[in-house]
Amino acid sequence: MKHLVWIILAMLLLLATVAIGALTDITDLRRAREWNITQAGQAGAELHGVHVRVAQVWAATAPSRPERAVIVVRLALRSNEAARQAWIGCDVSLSDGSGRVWRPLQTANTDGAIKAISPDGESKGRCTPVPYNAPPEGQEILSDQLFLVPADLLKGAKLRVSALGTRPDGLEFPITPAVRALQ
Amino acid sequence: MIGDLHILRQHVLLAGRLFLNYGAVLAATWMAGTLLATLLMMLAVEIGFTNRLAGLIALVPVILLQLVLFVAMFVILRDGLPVLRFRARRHRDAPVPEEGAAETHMGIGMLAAALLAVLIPFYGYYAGWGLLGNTLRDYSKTFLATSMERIEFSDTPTERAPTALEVDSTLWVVAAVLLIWAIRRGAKAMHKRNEAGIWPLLVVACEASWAVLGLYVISSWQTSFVEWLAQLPSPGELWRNLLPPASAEVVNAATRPADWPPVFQPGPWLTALFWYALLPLIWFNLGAIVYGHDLNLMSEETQRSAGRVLERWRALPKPLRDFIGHFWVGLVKRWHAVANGVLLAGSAGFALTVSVLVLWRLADWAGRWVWVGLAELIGPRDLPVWQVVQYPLNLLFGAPGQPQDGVVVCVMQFCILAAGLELAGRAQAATAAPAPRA
Repeated sequence: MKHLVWIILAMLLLLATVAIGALTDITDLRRAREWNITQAGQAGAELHGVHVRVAQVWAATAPSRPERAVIVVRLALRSNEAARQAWIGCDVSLSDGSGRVWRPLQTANTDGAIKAISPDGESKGRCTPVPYNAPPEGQEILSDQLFLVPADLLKGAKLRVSALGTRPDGLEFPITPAVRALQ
Repeated sequence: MIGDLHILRQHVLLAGRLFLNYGAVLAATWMAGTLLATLLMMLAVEIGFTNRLAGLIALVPVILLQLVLFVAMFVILRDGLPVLRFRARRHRDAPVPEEGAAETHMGIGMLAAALLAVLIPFYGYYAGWGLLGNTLRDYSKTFLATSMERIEFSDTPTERAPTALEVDSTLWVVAAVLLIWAIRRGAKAMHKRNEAGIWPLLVVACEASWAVLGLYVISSWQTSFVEWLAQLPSPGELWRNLLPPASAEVVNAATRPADWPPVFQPGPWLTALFWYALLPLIWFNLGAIVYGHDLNLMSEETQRSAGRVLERWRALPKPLRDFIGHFWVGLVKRWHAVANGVLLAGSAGFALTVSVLVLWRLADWAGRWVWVGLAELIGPRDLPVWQVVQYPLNLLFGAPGQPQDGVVVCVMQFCILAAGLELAGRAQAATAAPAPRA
């Protein structure tokens, strides 16, 4: 019994030392992940004062590579500037619900690929809450993300949106893209 | 051979029993010390932000804490060591007419006396093994990390702020030393007046701060001396200037591919082995000094030969005796304990010494592998996760590539050392027992 008290005391002291010593790293870890996910629907949802909506989702597959697909997600953000500034960046990712996560492609060909896949032939650029050509207040800021994923994600995937200033809070949207077969 | 194995078995069993009985208390003590050291380090950094020298002096409690923790671990374990506990009690119960008898009372006074005894050897080891440099480096690292966390990018000062260890001038260090001397003197006077156990601890604190400041000043002077020495041309260089080599050396890269293992060299290998084996023995001796400070280990023969010297000493005129005695008593009290400790450790015998050394290193080695095993079990994670997970692992089993300070391993090592000292005490008692009969 006496031993147990000492062991518990040692554990408590260990926890306290970890909490004090690793405070910065624990804060970093809290900021690194979306620990507190809010499910959002088609109409979108509010995240730290910014309204987020998935405007469009397109996907394409090539006959030569049937196991792969590219998905383009068009996001729309709407808010006043102060709230957008507080976001500090914008991070978008796709997940399959079993822990696998894909980040958007950022290559020299990304812009061209988005223009080829989107029906309007435009690329709105990557997601940023404070673009240099921000539209007037009240209008939506559009952005396009390109993902290269396995084809089974076309049946259904989850899109997560968060930012350094919002984490551990994040939004999750279920997406089912409209597939185009490239010739 | 059978006897050696018997000693090894006894050592393992006793160390295991000590671990079972006192492991939890020791672990809690060690963790409390670690937590306190973390807090004190943060405090020293905060003080260092306002004044660099004050921050350096505020580091003294951190260093002192390591000494107190070291001694406390051994003092806690003493209850489980029948021979050493019995001797200590017998010595304490005996009437001691000398001055300083109050220090051998139970409680905080006893701890203070043990601290005083082990102070100089501990800091010798502490500085010699580069642990003081380690503490200063930790302080520097914490200082830098904290200042990076608080950096204000919009408001950068035009002048570069001094780094953690850039103290304004040596003059201030001298002023600090004088101030500490005054505090120490005051503490000594107070101790004479009311004999509370706290005053010797304050004296220890003052002496520890001297040690830190002194070592810091010496190391900074040493650096400038080495720098001055380095800019002089070496004798070889002078010689080459006088007699240049006849032809350029031919270097053929093909003779030794880079992935060949280096040739086995017995000299460097033995040197490395020596240092590897030395650390546990230093700890063993330091532990012996902790137990030796109040053991009456002076043998009959030593007392007889010392008696003659004492008679002559008493024949000296009293003012001269007082004058020398004032300086001498403090020194003798300490070195008496050191000599006792070395005698105790020395009576361990070859088999026990090897047993202490191998078991101590085995605990270290096992701790390192447990770290690796747990890391394998946790598996690959991204950097932010591992940055957090490494903390409890390091606290439990020691950070890889760092001096061992994991709580589980250290507790085990203290048990191994204490068990070794107990067996050494038994061996000493066994050799001393038949002597009066002969």
